[in-house]
Amino acid sequence: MKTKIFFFFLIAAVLVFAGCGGVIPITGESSPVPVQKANLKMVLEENIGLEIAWEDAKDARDFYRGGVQQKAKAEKKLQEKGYPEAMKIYQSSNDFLTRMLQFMNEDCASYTLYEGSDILFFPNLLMADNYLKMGIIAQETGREGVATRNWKKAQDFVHKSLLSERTEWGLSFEQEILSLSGLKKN
Amino acid sequence: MRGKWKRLAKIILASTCAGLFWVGGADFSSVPEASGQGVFQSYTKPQAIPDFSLPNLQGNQVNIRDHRGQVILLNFWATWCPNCRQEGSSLQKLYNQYQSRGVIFYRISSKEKAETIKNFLEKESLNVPVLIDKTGQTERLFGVWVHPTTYLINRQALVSYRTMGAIDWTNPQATSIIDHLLKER
Repeated sequence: MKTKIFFFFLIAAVLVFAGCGGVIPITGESSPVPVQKANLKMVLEENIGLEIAWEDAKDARDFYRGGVQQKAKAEKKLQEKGYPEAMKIYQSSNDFLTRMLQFMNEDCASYTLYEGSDILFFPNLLMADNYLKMGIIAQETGREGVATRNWKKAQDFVHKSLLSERTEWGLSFEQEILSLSGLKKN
Repeated sequence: MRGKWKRLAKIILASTCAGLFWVGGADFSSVPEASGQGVFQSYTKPQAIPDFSLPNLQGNQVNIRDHRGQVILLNFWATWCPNCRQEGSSLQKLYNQYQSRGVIFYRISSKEKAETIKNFLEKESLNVPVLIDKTGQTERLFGVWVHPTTYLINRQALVSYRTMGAIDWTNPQATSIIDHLLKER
């Protein structure tokens, strides 16, 4: 009888923690979401359109959307080597995403808004990418200390992202941060 | 040995309950304004309406650009959404009152079949024009995460107001906002 009860609770616990938002990481065992299904380009494309101004952001969707849209702008500036502007816009993206994380702090490759409509939801991974790029900019402009601090933050956010959703996208970031910074894996 | 099993079962039970509570709280329903009764939000920095073109229920393409210079109400909805059904009749009254005054109304339904929508409208006696967003692309352009979400667009093609959740469209606030938009040049 006791063994049955034990297995009942064990199965219930596994069911509860399965999927997006699970707090028990099964890292190394489950296969990560392939990069073809979750990547930066897809996230940016999902959030084009009506632009969100900080003053008009009122709820979770606005802060997420605003964060992604700012990130798209920052990426463009970075490609153009407009470092100071890119740095500012990455920070602005992080401001939006930080507010977003107060509402929901789990990444998810398929967040269901309603039946038949899913979105890529990666606030932690986007923050990580922003900090990674801010670190690269800092390094390019000779500020090694700032670069290292940003990469440490990037590493923390990648870690949070991978705990909630293991993605090839996140795992490649993790590798990139480690190779850039020489930090140890979390 | 018995005590050990009991303790283990208690720990697992507590973890399961905590997990259920935590997972249940991690969605957008915990966000104020994202559910229930809608409120009007005005924009301090109004943005230009994204361009889109969608078929209506008769299969004719409607391009939103063709309505530049007019006040537009865009209501994102679905037949299965209880809050959309709740506000349907008051939106119909608003349409009856304002369509002759030049306000453009479109209810945009995404990922639903035209037949389903037609049957619903017939049953509910509603005739506010409907556009079909088959792929959900237009909904994504606006960033719609909640049904119903409504946008009011001014004559300069700027998104001036938004509501999320059901609205009583016959209430004085709704009509005064539309009157105000109509007066703007």
